[in-house]
Amino acid sequence: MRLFLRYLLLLSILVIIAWVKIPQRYGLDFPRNPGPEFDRQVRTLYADRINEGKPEIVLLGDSTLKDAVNAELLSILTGRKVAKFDVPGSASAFWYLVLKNNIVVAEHRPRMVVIIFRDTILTAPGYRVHGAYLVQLDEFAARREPILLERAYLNQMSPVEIWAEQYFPLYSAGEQVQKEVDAWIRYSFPNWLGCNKDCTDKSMYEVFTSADLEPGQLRNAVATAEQYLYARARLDFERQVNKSFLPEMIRLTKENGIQLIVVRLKNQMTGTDGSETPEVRRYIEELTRYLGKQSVIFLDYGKDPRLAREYYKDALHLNPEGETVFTQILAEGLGEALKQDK
Amino acid sequence: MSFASLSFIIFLVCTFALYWLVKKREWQNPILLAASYLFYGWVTPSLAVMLGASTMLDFFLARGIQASPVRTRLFMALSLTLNLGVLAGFKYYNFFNDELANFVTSLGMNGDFFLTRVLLPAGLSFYTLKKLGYMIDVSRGMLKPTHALVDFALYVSFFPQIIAGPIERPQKLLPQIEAQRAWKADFFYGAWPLILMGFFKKIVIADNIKIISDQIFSLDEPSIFLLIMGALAFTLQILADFSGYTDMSRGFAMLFGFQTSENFNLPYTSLTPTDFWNRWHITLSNWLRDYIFFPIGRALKRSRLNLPPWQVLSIPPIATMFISGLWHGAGWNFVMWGVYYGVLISVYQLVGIRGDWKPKSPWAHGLAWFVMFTFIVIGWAMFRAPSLAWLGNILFNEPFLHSQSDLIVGLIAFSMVIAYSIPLWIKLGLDKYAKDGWLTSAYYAFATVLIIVFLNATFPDFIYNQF
Repeated sequence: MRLFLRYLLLLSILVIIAWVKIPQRYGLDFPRNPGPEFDRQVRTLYADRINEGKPEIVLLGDSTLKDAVNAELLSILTGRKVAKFDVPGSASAFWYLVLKNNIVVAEHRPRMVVIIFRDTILTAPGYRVHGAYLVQLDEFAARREPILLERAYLNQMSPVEIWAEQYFPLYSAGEQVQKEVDAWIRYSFPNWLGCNKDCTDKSMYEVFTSADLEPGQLRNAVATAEQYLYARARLDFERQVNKSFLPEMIRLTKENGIQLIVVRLKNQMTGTDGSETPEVRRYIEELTRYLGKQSVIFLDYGKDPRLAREYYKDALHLNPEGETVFTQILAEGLGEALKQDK
Repeated sequence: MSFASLSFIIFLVCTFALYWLVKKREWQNPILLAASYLFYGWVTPSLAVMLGASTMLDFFLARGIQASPVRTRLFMALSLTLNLGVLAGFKYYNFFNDELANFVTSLGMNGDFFLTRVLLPAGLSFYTLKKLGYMIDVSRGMLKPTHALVDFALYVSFFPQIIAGPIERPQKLLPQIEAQRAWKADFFYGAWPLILMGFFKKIVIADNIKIISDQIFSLDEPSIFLLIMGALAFTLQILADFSGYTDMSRGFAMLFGFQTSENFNLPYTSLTPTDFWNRWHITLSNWLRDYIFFPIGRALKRSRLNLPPWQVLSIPPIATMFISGLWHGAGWNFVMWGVYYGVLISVYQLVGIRGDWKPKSPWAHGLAWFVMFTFIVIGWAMFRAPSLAWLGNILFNEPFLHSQSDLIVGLIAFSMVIAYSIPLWIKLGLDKYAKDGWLTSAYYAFATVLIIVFLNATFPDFIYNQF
């Protein structure tokens, strides 16, 4: 008992010290707003590209889009100018920001925005929003992004977490403290040997970022990350949809006279040809009904037999042959929408 | 449900309150059983159904053995087939499914069905060994089967242990389940340091060191130097992760009035491979020793094969560790890892170094430790490697260093290993010289602060969940 009481006493002292010192050290004000803070800068990369290229069709997606669609071929097949914005590691939060802060504010207004997605990603607002993804989001986020903050972060946190973020510096400044500890460990030893911060960062980049990854490990890492999309909560469409960025993306496109088209690309995560899980099937049925009501065109290639296994280089990405096949399939699918557009 | 989640904390508080409120064992056990099934079936309820069905079958088979001893072999065969069949099915299906799909496709049929990945139910490997131990002991007449289904089901599914052990023996846990339990403040005072250290090892040490070890083992062709540093990082990671889990498990069990087994006893201070396995995952080692190693040894001694003594000495550890490798995972690297330890144990024994060997000279002691620690790190490199081909390629084709960048990154990994192992060294010293003193209280207070700081990060699962 004595050990525990002494522990409580010392812990209280440490917490009080942290309460005073942390806000000073990291320049934080308490109570603070929960969730991440974004800077004022908003990159206009995609708005610039739209203004320069004046595309009629804008494709938006992650690395699967990069490998799935040949923009030049699609342009030839459809007879329309196509711009492809494929950002590896991006997800619905990023697409929402690009749509809101780049596409709809561009001087040139594209006729269509085509989002290439897989399974539940459109209604998973908390997917790929932390760590390196947060840096990616910050580039396209304005200083105030209440919808992003609410849907990607606050809705994903428990009340205890929100309280701790607001009032408890030890928890709230965790990331800053962690970064400092990490930097100390990472840079000290090489520094003693004459390799400064730049040299260390360059070494890390050379060894990890530019090197090839072991295919099996890569596959496992992808599968582990993708499990998030297939958790029970994410497959509950009704529960997810109004907390997601999908309604906002629909609103933004409608208000700006842009036809939103969402395209589901087949993947090999939940099953192979024809072996989609019942949960995913149910989710897609509900998504189809919802999009229909919202006048959003939904092209579902999630089970398309033309996208055979030999066209995939891994569970998610198509190989060059697959890219050609899918581009043709997509051009065909977009045909109907384009006829209406004429 | 993960120990490191808010839902678990709510679950624990509710179960704890209800459990001690009812006071009577007749109510406590059903409450704990219901809680254990809720915990286990939280994400996938069908897993709890599977656990329930297999528990009932073993319960009645054990009763059958008692009621009709002449049919012991039949009942045991049924239990072994069921338990090992389910375990092998889940564990090794993914190992063979690609080959199966290719074979079916080569026959002109659609083999895609076989490409669906089967997810290993968490804890299956652990509770299967628990049930098998019970059945074997009953069949050998070493244990009277319990007549209370609730007690047996609780023994199998006890939530602090179901995901990753300790693999508690029925002789230790069942009598506690069958006994009256009244709340004592000592339960809390014994539990909190364990729970705290468990979270500390997991959140502060394992999850941080994991970052660098994962990165190195994800590279397609790292240099030998990077492999060594990655293996060192993994050596620390797996100890912190698994022993952290065990600490939490023991702490939670203690909150409910149960004393459960230690699983780790300073394994990296071992001087011999046998010593290592007496200190690492102790409950698994004991299980393997009693149900695999000893029976093989006895069978060899009794056999008329007239094997030379060195074979009689070598076969049991190699066979036992081969099975241990298979139990740990479906992959040739796990098999190789198991056989590697089997061979090491045999070689040490053949040259006369037994498990309890302690050299008198401090130099010899230091050298023996260094040699054994090197063997341990090599073992973890095999265990963590994506494949044996990957490991072979590095050892035979890659240079010691690709570039100066390798050296820098290797040094970063090394400094992380040193930095994150310091708290464990301090704790070791405190346990030895200042147990229960002010310094220990201060250590726990600092550990709590670090947990809170590092809590605001992602939560990877426990490594041993995969087994």
